[in-house]
Formats: sequence, structure tokens, C-alpha cells
Amino acid sequence: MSAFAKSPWVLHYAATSCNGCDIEVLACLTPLYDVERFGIINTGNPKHADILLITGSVNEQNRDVVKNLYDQMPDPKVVIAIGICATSGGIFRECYNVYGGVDSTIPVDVYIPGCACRPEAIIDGVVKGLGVLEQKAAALKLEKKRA
Amino acid sequence: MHILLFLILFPLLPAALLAVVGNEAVRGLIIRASALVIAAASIAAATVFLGKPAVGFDLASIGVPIHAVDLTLFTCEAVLALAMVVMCVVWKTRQWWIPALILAQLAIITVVEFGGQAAPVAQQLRVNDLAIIMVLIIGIIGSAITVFGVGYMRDWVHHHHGDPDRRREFFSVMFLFLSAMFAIVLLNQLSWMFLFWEITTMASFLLIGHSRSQEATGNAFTALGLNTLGGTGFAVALLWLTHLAPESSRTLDLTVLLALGQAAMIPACLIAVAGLAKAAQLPFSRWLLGAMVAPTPVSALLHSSTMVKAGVFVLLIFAPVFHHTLPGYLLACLGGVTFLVTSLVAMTQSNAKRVLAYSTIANLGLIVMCAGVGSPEAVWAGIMLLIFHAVAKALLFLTVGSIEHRIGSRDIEDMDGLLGVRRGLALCLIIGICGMFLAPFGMLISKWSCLEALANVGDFPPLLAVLLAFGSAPTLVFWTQWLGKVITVSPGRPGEGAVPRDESLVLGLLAVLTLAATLCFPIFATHGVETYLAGVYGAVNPMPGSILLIMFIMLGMMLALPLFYFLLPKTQTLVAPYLAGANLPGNRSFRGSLADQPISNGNYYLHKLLPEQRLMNWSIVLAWVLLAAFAAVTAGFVPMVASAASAVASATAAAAAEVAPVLLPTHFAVWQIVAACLAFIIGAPLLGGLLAGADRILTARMQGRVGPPLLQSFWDVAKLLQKRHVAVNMHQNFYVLGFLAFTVASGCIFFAGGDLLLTIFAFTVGGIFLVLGAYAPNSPYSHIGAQRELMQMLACEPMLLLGALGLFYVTGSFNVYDLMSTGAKSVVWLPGVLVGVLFILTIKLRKSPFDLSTSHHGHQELVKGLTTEFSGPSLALIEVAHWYENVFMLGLIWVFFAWNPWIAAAAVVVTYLAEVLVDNSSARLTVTSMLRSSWTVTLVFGAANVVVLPYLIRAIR
Repeated sequence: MSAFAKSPWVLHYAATSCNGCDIEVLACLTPLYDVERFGIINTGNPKHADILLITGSVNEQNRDVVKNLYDQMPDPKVVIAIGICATSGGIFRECYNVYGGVDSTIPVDVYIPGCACRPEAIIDGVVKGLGVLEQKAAALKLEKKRA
Repeated sequence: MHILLFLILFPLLPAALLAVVGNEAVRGLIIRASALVIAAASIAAATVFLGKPAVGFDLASIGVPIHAVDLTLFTCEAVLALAMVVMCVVWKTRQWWIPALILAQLAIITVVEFGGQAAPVAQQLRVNDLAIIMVLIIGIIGSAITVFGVGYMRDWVHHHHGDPDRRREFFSVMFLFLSAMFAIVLLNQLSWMFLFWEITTMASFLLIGHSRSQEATGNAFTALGLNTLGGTGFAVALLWLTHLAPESSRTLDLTVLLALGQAAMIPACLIAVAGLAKAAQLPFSRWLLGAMVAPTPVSALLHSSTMVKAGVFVLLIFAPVFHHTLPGYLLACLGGVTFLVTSLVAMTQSNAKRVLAYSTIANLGLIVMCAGVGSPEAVWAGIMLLIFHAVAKALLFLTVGSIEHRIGSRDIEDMDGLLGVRRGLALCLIIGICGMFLAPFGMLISKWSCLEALANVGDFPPLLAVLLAFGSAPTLVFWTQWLGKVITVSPGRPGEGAVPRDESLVLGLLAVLTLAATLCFPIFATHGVETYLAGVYGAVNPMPGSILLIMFIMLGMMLALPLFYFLLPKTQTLVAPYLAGANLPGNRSFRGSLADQPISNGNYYLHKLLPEQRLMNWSIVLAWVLLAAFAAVTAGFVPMVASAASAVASATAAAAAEVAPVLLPTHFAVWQIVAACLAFIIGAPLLGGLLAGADRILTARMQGRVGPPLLQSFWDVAKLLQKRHVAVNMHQNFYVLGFLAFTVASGCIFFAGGDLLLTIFAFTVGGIFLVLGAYAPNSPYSHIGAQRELMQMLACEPMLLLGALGLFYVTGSFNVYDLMSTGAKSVVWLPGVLVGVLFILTIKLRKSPFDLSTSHHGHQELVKGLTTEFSGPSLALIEVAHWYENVFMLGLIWVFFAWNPWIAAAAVVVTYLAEVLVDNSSARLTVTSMLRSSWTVTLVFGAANVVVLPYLIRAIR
């Protein structure tokens, strides 16, 4: 396991979430699940984060925010869509102001469906995301070597 | 001798010419040519006299009719006094006491002139190294300022069209002033010196009132009144010396007077009052602030680099008289109170000129403190302060003047991003500010030696060092705030027009001089200052070689820092600053909930905590009380030894002989020092990283969680190092390298057994670099973090210095080696200091309730404050530097228990556990409550402990 897999720092952004998934994300940090066991920290700052957790669908109001946060994260980075709204837009998909899931705006690496997702599912999804993160880190290393 | 006379008399020629010449081109020519001549003459005088023993000259030997000169000067005096009274009448001042005082002075001087019984003065001129240093300052900086005035006053007249053009008067008075300054520093006959003293008072009156506006005239009268009040002290001193003093000590010869030693206390104190007024010390300080209405060259010439220096010059001359006496101690207290109060007030100002004015008063207060203490070490520090202040302050004043004419504002907030839009002016500002406070630049060297000198004030309570400890923290804050504004990379206000050629030439010259003074300080320390001290005190060796060595290494680091730019990765990806994702194109505004809003980064000015007016009023009252005590003590003063000067000289010579110069920082051998440094550089991150891991596990356990593995912090850093370099601008990561370098350096000095004060200063410099790094991006989160970090430094700094001081009293040394190897049970003597240090340890370790600038916790409300805009490798470096910091701080705790390593280790572990517990069981405080609580604890526990300590030790040991 590389350092990336041992120290994934996450940034959590609630797009149009109803807060159901958000509460489950925060539940992962509580003593019951304690994701800090795996070195996971909720940083609250895109410049420090490796993994972007997004809950809720993307709409006109938050599209630029999602884009900005993603752009401000340094490579390598992974995006995880949490909940069915973030995955596909969910029940809000047909709304007049909704673009759809997170992948309508930025590339998504892992989808975690559910309404709301269970903490176990979120942890599973993040662990899956770690694999992607390691791949991207390896690619970045290769790129650096070539440059 | 002729060159000295030339210096005094020559400036009168341009003064007369400029009074009549109205043509602009001719005037410019005259000013430039005379400035060049004066500068050349002062350098010539320096080459002749610098580093030589003091000499006096008898004017009669070259055929000057002394008596005629004396009468002429007295006539001038009378004419001057009457002219000033006429001005008071013409301008209808309501302050009737000013003309009354002037007339009283005239009466006294008449009595002195015609009824005196003093022995005739054998030598009218005297020159020593201190005088030559002053000559250089006046000759080079003073004349450079007049050249600056050529372009500046053209703009001034342009900006103030409608007013009549008074430049003839202006430049004429400027040169008259230079002549008077030369006379003050070179004359040996006190009655003559008094005339020129009064000329500077009148010149400043005319120059401050230059614009004739109501405000300017009012302030001019304030200056006149307060300086005349001080000048009366001088006049009374002359009266004492000719009529009232015991027969044996009646003399107007300065050299003879100084040779009397403590018997000269009364005239010395009377002249000191005049010096205090001229140096704008507290109760008289109001005039200097009012003087800021004058055109910038006036502020620079009179109120920063030369005239106020005349005040401290006379105080420094009389310093040997004050050595180890109660009046001297009270004088030093007055300087110390001035330093503390004006530093605090300067922090609350955003008007650049007022910041400069208050910091001028503060620095002069420091010099007064040195003069009052009067030991050779203190005078050494005082002269150093005087030199660096003169150079750097002149540069700063002129730069601010130039900036004001370009961007139309003298507000520090408006200098945001100046480095990007006005590179030259901003660089001058940066060099000036660095020259004023940043280690290892001049002021810090001087402040350091000042603290060392103040630690030893003999039988008096060590209040002075406490004042210095509290006063130096605010200076750090306001300079860094200003510097931070200037270096921010943001679309600043470029303003209009180019800087006139004369102005840029002078600014460049002064910037080079500041750098040169910094680089050459060992040279003039040994060839000017120390030879002067040797002449006054006998053999002295105030500056150990080891300190010079460390300072030179630090200086080298500072100068080598720009090379770090080459170390920065070439491939930094630039991203937008963090604005909670709501950035609007251009990143200067964000999408708010109601409307698009521009971002604004204002500094903290602590108006509520430190109301300027109330603070000044109270301190003026306090200063009058001190002054009254000073007068009372002086009146009842009994000289200890008849010929004290020789006794003091021999005592200090003996003391100097005892302290053999040490070339290396400690008693370690070279290889041991290298080994200790290496052990720290490699070992500290290992230890610090493990501590951080243990901290996280402990925290998790306290919250009922399992927590990460012990090595988690290392994984974090390893990951951060592999991330892509991302930055908001190309410069911010450079400051992080500075932070790391100086933090490591401070730890190395500490663990290699070096000087504790230097360690603390290097540590502070590291912190300043981090703050500047956070200032560099134009990001509100990062700026708030930077501000809060500064506030944290403000909260910690006094206690750190007091801790060093307390340890010094117990062990008799500032060297960490001595502190570590002493058998003394430091903690028994220093319980209060330990409490204070433990309190600020929470701040330094960035633990709750004091994790304001940035936090390791998830409950951050301002994202990550200080570190918001740092990512990847630079964030890793900040983390590693923080490990170094933690190890250093814990090392400091160790010192208190150093007599037994087992107890010390246990104490460190218990301390750390307690910190973690506090961290997890308290909520974060606001900035003001942090400042209040930490300063209260510092005062109640730290300062009280330090003040009673010398008495305790004497009583018990």
C-alpha cells in the first residue's frame, strides 16, 4: 500500500442534498465507525484534500462551486458520488434547474447508490476510491519521471 | 580641525543662497551640489577621526577671537529668542506660556553669559567616535533628504496649488538645520551648544508650520512649546554650572563636566530633560505626532533621522554619569514605558506615517532606556539602535512620502499588493521594514544586546527587561502586518506618475545604506562604537565573538534565502484562492447569498482592546509622575565616589577582563556542536512525528475511538510530498522554506547549547516567514489565519523572553549549555515563569483553546486559516517545521528541570499529556480573550516571578 492509500484526506461537499447522506458521512467519523483508523481526515479544504465526497445532485446554483472545488484540489484526486441523487440526480433528475448527477459536471470515479447510503456503504466506496487514487498516483509519478 | 569647522559653517552658505534664489533649476543645482559637498566633508571627517581617541580643539590656536565669537553667538541667541516671541505674537497663539518661557530662557542665558564664574573653556570643539557617527548620519542621510526634497516639494506645490510657494524658506531652513545639528554634536562649550539646540527648535517650528494651515500652525506651536519646555531644562543646567554648583564643579566645558562623573548628576539630569523633549519621549511625545502634517522630507529629517537623534545623543553622552544610579534607573524606566506604550499604540494605527511616528518614539525610548542604564553594554546597544534607526527610518519615511504622492493614500490597507505594481518603492519599503525589525537585521541585534544589558541593572528591580519583553512583541506585529500587506500578490493600486529622479536616487541610496549597515555592523561595531566605549569606560568587550558568529550565520541565511527561489519546483500549477468554491472570474470577488461581493482583507488593529487616546492620556500621566520622581531623586542625589568615572572605568575594565571572549557558542567542541545540530535535524522530525501520532491516538481514546496508527503522521507527510505542486502564486512556497529554515536554525542553536535569546529570536523569525507566506496569496481565509497567527505571537512573545530572563537570573547565563549543565533547580526558583510558559505552550503547540490560526481538529470554522492556501509538498514542509517547533518547545520545558534528566523527561511527558487533555476538553477562545488571558498570566505569574527573583536569590542563597 502506498502512502496515498494510508492517508486519504477527504473534502465533503453537500450539493443539493437533503442532508440524509451528509449525516451518514459524518456518522463515519463518529466513534462507532471511526474512519480515522484508516488515516481518513475530513479536511474541509480542497487544497488539502485527496478525495472529494459529493452528496446531492448538481443544479444551477452549485454547479460552479462543484467545478471550483474540483479544480482547486491538487492531483492525484478522486471524486466519489454519495447517494442516488449524486449518482444520477435521483428523484430530482427531471427538475427544471437540475443538471443531473455529479458526473454531469466533473468526472466521477466511484458511485455509491442509496437513499440515504449506509455508513458501511460509504466506507466501502471510499476504500474502492483508494484503489483509483493509487492508480492515479502511479500515473502521476510516471508523468513526473518523463518530464 | 578645519574640516569640523567647515561642516558647521558650510551649510550656512546654501541656507543663505536658497533664501534668495527663486529659480527652480538653480535651486536644484545648489541643493544637489551642497548636499554632495556636505556628504563628502562628513566622510572626510570620518576618515580622519573614526576609530581614533577623542580629541578636543582650541579655536584660539588658529586665531579665532573667542570672546568675539562668544558675544556674536549670544547676540544670535537674543535675536533668535526675540524672533520667536515675535512669531508667537504675529501668529496670535493663545499659549501665552510659550513666549514667557522663551523670555525666561533669555534671561537665564543673559545671567549665564555676563554673571558667570565658570572657568574659561579651553577647547571649544570636541570630537570622538560617537560624534563622528552622528556626523555621518547628519552628513549623508540629512543631505540625501534635502535632495529628495527637490522633487518632492515640486509635487507638493503642485498638489497644494493655491498656497503661495514657500520653497525658498523651506530649503533655507533645512540647511540651517543641518548646520545646527553638526554644531550640537561637535561643540564642547555648553553655552554655545545651547544656541544651536534652540536653532533646531525654531527650525522644526518653521518646518512643521510650513503649510500655514490652521492644523499645521497649531502643531508647530505644540512642538515649539514642548521643546522650549525641555530647552529650559538645558538653560537651567547652564545656570547651575555657572552660579549654583559647588565652586569646584563650575564649568561650561563638556569634557571637564563628564570627567566629574556622578558629581555632574544634576546638570546631566537637567540636560536629559531637554533631551527627552527633543527625543519626543513620554510626557513630551505629542509634538512628534503633530509634526506629521509637515511635508515628508521634514518628517524624515527632523522627526526620524536627525533632530530627535540630537535628544538621544546628549543622553548617550551622559550615560556614564547615569550608570548604576537611581536617577539613571528612573530615566531608563521613562524610556521603557515610552517604548511599551508607543509600540502598543503603533499596532492600532493603519496610517503609515503615524505608525512610523509611534515606532520612532518607541525606538528612541529604547535608546533612552540604554542611556539610563548607562553600562557599556547598554550604550553599545543604544548606539547601534541609533545608527540602524536613522538609516532605516529615513528610508521608510521617504518611501511612504513617495508612495503617498503616487497612490494618493498613506493608509497601510491601500498598500495592498504594492510589490506587484510598484516594485521599486515596495522593495525600498521591504528593506526598510526588515532593517527595522527582522533578525538578524540591525534592530534585532541591538534589541538583543539591549535585553542582555538590561538583565543586569545592579540593585534595581528588573522592571526594564519586563518592559522590553512586553514592548517588543507589538513591534513585531505591526511591522509584519505592514510587510504582509505589501507582499500580497493582488491587483494593487498602481497610482499615477513616475517617481521623480531625485527621489528614486535617494531612495536607492538609502536602501543600499540600510543593507550596507546591516552587512558592515561588525566593522563599525569594532572601529567606531567599541573604540568610543573604550575611551569612555576603559577596556570593554561587550560583544562576544560567539554571538557575532551566530548572527552572521543567520544573516547569511537571510541573504541566501532568495536562492531558495531556485529550489522551488519549476512546475507549480497555479490555482485560484479558496473562496468556499464561490469564486467569480478573476478571483477578486465571490458570489454571496445576496449579491456578488468583492473580497477584502483587512488587518486587525485592536482598537477596542487598546484605545489610542485613553492609553496615551494615562501614560502621559504616568510619565509626569516618573519625571517628578526623577526630579526629586536627582535633587537629593549624593554622588557615591568623588571621581566616579575612573572608579566605574576600572570596575568595568575588571569585569571585562573577567569575561574572556569566547569564540564558539558554547563550551562544546566544534564536532560536538555539529553532532548536536545533526542530531536535532534528523532526530527532531522523528520524535515530533511520533509525538503527533501519539497525540492523535490519545485524542481518539479520549473521544472513545481507536484512532490512526502511531506512524500515521509520517504517512501523511509522505503522501503530501508526492502530490502535485499547486499554488496560488509563485512566491508563497518560498516563505515556507524560510519558515522551515529558521525554525530548524533556532532548534540547532538551542540544542547545540547556544544563546537562548538568539534561539527565541530565530524562532520568531521563522514564525514571521510563515505569516508572510499566508499573506502572499490574496485569500481572505489565509489572511485571517495570518492575522491570528500574529496575535498568537503577540500573546507568546513576552512570556518566552521572560522565561529566558528568569533562567538567566537563576543560572547567570543565557547560554543553553550553562542552563542544561547547571545544578540549580530552576523550577524551584521559577514556578511562576513555568506556569506562564506552560500557558503559552498551548498557544505554540496550536492546541485548543488557542488553536486560532490553524487547527488539527475537524471543527475548524475558518477552513484551515494559515494553511488554507498551502497544499502538497509545502504543506508537508509546514507540518515538519511544526514538529521541529514542538520538539524545541518541549526542550524549553526540559530546561526548567535540567538538573535531573529523569525528572525532566517525566515533566516533559506529563506536560504533553496535559496539553492533549486540555486540547480535548476546551472550546476555542476569541482573539481578544486569548490576548487578555495570556498577557494577564504572563504579568501575574511570569513578570512577578522575574521581578522578585533577584531579591529572593540574594536573600536565600
